[in-house]
Amino acid sequence: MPNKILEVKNLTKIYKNRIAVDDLTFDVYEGEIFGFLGPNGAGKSTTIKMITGLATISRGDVYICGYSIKKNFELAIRQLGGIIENPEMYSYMSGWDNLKFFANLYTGITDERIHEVVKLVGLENRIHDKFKNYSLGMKQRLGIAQALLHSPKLLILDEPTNGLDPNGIQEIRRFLKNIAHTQKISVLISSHILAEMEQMCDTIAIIDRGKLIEIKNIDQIRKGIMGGQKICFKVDYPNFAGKLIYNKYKLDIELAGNNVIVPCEEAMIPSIVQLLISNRLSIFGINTLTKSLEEVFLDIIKQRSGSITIT
Amino acid sequence: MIRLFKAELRKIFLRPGIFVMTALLAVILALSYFLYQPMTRNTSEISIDENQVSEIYDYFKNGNMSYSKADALSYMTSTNNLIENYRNNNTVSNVETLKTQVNTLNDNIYAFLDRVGRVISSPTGEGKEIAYKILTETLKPSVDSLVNLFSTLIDTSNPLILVNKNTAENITLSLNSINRILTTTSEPTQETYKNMQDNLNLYNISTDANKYTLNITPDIESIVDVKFDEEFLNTLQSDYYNVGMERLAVVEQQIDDFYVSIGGNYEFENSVEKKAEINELISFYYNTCRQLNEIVISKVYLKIAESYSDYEFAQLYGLEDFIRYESEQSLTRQEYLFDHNKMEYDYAVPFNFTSTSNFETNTYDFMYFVLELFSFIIIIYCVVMGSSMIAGEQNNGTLKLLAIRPYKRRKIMTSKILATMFFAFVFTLLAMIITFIAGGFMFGFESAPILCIFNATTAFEISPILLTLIYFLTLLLKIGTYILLAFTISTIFRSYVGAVTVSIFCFFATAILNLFVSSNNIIKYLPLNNLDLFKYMGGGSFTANSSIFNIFSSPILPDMSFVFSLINIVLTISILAVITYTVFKNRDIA
Ligand SMILES: Nc1ncnc2c1ncn2[C@@H]1O[C@H](COP(=O)(O)OP(=O)(O)O)[C@@H](O)[C@H]1O
Ligand SMILES: [Mg+2]
Repeated sequence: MPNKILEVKNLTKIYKNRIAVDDLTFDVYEGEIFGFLGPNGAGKSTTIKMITGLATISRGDVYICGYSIKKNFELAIRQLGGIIENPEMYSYMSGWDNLKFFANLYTGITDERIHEVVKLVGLENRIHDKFKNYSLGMKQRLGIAQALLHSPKLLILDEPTNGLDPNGIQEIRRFLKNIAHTQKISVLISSHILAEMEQMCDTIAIIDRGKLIEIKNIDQIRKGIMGGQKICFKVDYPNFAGKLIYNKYKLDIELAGNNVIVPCEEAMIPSIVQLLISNRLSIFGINTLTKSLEEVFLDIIKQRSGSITIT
Repeated sequence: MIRLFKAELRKIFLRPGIFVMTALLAVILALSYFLYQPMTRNTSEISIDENQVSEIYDYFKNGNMSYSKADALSYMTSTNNLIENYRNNNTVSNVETLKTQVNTLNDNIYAFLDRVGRVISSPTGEGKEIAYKILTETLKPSVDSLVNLFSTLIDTSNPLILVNKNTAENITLSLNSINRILTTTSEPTQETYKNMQDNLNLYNISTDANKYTLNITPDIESIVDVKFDEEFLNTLQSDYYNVGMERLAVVEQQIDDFYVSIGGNYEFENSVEKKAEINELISFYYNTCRQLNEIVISKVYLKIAESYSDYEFAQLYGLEDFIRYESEQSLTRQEYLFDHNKMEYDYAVPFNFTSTSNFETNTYDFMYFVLELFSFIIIIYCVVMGSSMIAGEQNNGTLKLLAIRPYKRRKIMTSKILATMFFAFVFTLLAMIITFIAGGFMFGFESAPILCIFNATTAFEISPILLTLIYFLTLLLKIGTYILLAFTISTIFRSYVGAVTVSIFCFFATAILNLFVSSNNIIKYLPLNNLDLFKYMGGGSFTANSSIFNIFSSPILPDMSFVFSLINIVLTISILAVITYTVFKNRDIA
């Protein structure tokens, strides 16, 4: 079992008359990319602000590398780097001066280390330009550079892909995967777009209206999806084929042109093929129809949110 | 924490505003050179024409000078009488008597000083000018303070009603006309000739005044019997009256000796030293009379004032005219001078805007002038910067990046405040050094020692360099408190623009309040009125007279003192610090 880097325990945030985050508990392990998924207003930013000590914690606690953020703030926060919401820095200073400013807050960050990080995020050529002249992508990269300077164990990024073009998103994704797996940095990344998450996260937590709805590792999710998958048989007499399958397996059959769509597992393909052939039907093709992750998550949210009441 | 402080400081110096500040410093320095035109100080030295020397001596010989001495004596005697009177009737209600006596005293002083003036002035030539100048400029303050005393004793906030005992006829006089009566009871001077008719009418009223009883509108129930205790009266007599008389006798002897030494020959065009010598002797004689005058008047005056609270007194006479602090300060100064047998012109005054500390302007005056203007700009800049460092950084999001560093909120706040203060320190020091050098080349580095009157009670000599250091420290305290205030406001108000607006509003609101509700008792508690501790070094009250500079330095209001202001500042700083740190610690940084 790898080390727990971040432990969130019964974390709750109550604003005057509403609960923004409700009894959240989860762990992030070493080298793991943890996706924090939820629609706008779900409480992602609020959770992240409590983890980073920006917002006060109403109930519960957060431990980073075993240190409580409430009781051992300085030790806990030392292990953390991040960008919360927009990657804003001092606009009148150059990128370099900004990095230098943050580097000076820690002991032992040399200019070489800053150069290394700058190179890592690919800003070598523009690092001495004023921050205000940077594009959003460059600001985002400088933000990540700033977060990595002190070699934290945990990197927290709140919606880092907001406003980026697809190219930029892909770049960040590749970059994060790389540092998580090569440098053993855990990453907590929040987003309201599932497509971004599924391609890089090891674990995804879904949160809605402050509550944790589902927390699954990506393999578990994939297996779950296989159970709900459909097989498509292209035949010459689809109506007849459908009747045959229904009579034998009592499955909900869909028909589309020459296609018979059967909700079943791959393991059933041989017996279905046998059934069709023995009834002298011709099979022109067999396809596996995968349901996308997004659909699954939307389903989960649709299902669960209906039954959840927030007081 | 030191790392954080250094990083914050580096950030401040990377701001583009730093260039603006440097440029402004240069502009202010250049502007000050043109703006800086303070009045030159009166030396109180009487300059005597050579021809007059013989005349003066003749006066002596023929008893004219002794006549003036008789006047001095008669003035002192009436003081003595006044004292005696109180000794004998200590239990009787004496307000009425006191009024009459003070009035007589006033007349006597006038007569005496007029006499001195006439001795010095020749019938023709510029002597008359000099005498007039002495009468109007130099002596007027002491006479005025008596007038004040008189007016204080009768109700001045209401018109005075004189009732004719026989006819029951009423005459209503305003404060102004009473003052004019009082100033015309002496023989009309050059000034009063100008509107003689007017004055004559008033003069008639005043000479007829004994036909009338004073019908004081009993608005001030607080008018109390004044009691002088034995010790006070003894001190007045032995320490001042007797000592003063001895000194006068010595000078008289010296004048006599001088006359003998020049062999009765007054033609000393060739001897500048001789001329200076006689000038000095006569000036000394004259100034000693004046010193005595002021001390006795101030002592009596303050003794009476003791019976009233400062607030009552301010109500009775209006704040501009009576400030106990200033009277005490001037008394302390006079006593110090008298005790050390020195004259005012032996010293430089503490820095002030409107006049020079020496006879000629020097670098210290100039430096003070520039720094007061410049500190205004430093304060504004630091207030804006302070707002940007909390509210501003919160608005643009950089505060979040700072708050997720291994520093507690308390440390973040402290570093930011200290960095801003350090910046202010550096720039003020820089401005001071530059101004000192520039001023030195323009006006010279020389200065007489300065006579400081600390907190109106303690007089001491101090070198201008040391006083500059004290000024620098008080200036830093003032700027520092403004910075803290800016941080408090910027912590409470999340919006940057809001924080800047409120901070600057606080800054000007106090100045505006001071201008319009100066008689209000409450405003002395306003923290920003207590920030300037330098005014307790003996120079502050001068600036209070110039309303424009109220923006820069606040007046000393009734009941205020160094300790009062110090406590006020300490309380203010503590309260601001507690608010700032508590709010910031529990703040959710959005
Ligand atoms: N300072 C605040 N005061 C009151 N409610 C807030 C505050 N900040 C956020 N909220 C509420 O908390 C909920 C969660 O917000 P947030 O964490 O920003 O969502 P997300 O980042 O997932 O979009 C929202 O309903 C929001 O309106
Ligand atoms: Mg958010």
